[in-house]
Amino acid sequence: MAAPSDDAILVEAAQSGDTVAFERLMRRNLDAVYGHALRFFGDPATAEDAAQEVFLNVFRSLGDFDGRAAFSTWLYRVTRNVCVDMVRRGKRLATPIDPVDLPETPSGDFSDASATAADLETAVRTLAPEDRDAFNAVALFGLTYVEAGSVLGVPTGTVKSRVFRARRNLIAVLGLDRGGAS
Amino acid sequence: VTDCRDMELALSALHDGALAAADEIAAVRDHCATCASCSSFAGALRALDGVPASVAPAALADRIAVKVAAAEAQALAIAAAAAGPAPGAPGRTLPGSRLRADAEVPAWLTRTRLWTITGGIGVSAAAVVLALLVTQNMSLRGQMDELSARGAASAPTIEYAPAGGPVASVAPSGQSAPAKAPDYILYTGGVYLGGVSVDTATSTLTTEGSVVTALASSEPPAAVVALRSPSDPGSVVLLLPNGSYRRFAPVVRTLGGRTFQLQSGVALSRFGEWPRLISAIQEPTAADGSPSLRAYGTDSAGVPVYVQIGAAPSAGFAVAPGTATSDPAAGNPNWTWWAPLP
Repeated sequence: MAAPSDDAILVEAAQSGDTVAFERLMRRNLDAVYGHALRFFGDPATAEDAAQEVFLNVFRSLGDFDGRAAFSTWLYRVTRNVCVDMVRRGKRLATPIDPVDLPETPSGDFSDASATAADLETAVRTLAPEDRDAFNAVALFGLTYVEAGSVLGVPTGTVKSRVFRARRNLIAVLGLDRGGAS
Repeated sequence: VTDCRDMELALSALHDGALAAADEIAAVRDHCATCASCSSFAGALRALDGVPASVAPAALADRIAVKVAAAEAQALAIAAAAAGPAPGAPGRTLPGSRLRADAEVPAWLTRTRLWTITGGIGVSAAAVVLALLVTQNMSLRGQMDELSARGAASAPTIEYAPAGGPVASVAPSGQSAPAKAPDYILYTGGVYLGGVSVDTATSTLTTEGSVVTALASSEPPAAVVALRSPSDPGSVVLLLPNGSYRRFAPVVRTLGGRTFQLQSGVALSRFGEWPRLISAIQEPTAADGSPSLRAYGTDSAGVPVYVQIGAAPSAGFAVAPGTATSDPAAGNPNWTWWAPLP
């Protein structure tokens, strides 16, 4: 996730009409947006559509962003809303994971394990939606628990619990809890 | 912190920098020093961080940039059309605009940028700054036809005729330093070559969109209003910053009785820049076009054409650099891609 202070500079430049700054802002944050959408839909093509729609929305409403919250917080809110709206419009489905798709978990010393991005994405999709959302907010967008709580509409302690639960499950699914400490 | 479950919760929070109290942090560290389970969990947290997350496809950012720039260009063109010509400007209200009247113009954009349009569409509106990197993602897969059954070995000779379109007036190939490209612009993925001025007194022009180009200047590229004339629908007419109109004709060639237009996978931000292969096709690393292309045959002028593996030339084809001076691709040091016109 892009450094917040750098984002703030780019946002200010973009709001003053600097389209190059806007594009840099987009490129810096694209992985987080795409990553959230991929975990939400479970389909790369749909995730690309969602990411495109997110940044079109951001472009259209950048003037509404007043800088009181971090850009990443605002972007996460937009991303989440776009994904939910795509499902509501009936054009896309959030795809649940089939347990048979789960990866073979690495065994032995996890320092040598080779869990891949694909393994992680598959594992993330096994999480409860509320845990996945909290984890994405923190791990992908770099939000604090307080910021994530404000977007998700839950207390900070709930975010803390959800992120913890997500991590525990991911560690188990990926087999990272086997083989001792690094 | 009372037990390992609470300790793991605290470890996760510490991992996120959300554990601020010094005594809590100390308690976690003290516990991990003596508890193998929690120490293992701490290691697992670090290992989880080491698993790479998915990254967006490289081309996605480019596609989004195009979409955003197109949205901006449309918004600005709407505002320009609504503003009409500035007093004394040689421009005129553009008839028959295809732009939707209800298209959304971002408020922040109007606050910051529209002054460049309302200041005089005939003079300065064409210099609205934006970055429109037009790359057309052509739908090639659906266009394969019976020709795809032909093998490379058949190497057919296909009827070729110079298309009558503009031909690049450039230096012959083989020079150590590539010649400067002609006055090319890129519009919806297709390459057009600058030609004559258009007399607006006798032409009806319809607003189409915008082209991003610095024209012949060294200034940053800017959005230039693009129009079409019903009497010459294949060409694009640009409203230049000086208020004049200039026709740009598609750069085309024919193959097998069909007309194909030169494409570019990179923005042509000013005159003198050469088109390159579209981004969907990997740049060949060998003279035979491999790994992404294969030699298909030659046209009647002896110019070898290359197609995508498994595709037919009717879906588009490539031409290697080094063609003769009479060829539409002459002088281009890059492979070029030619897509069928409807």
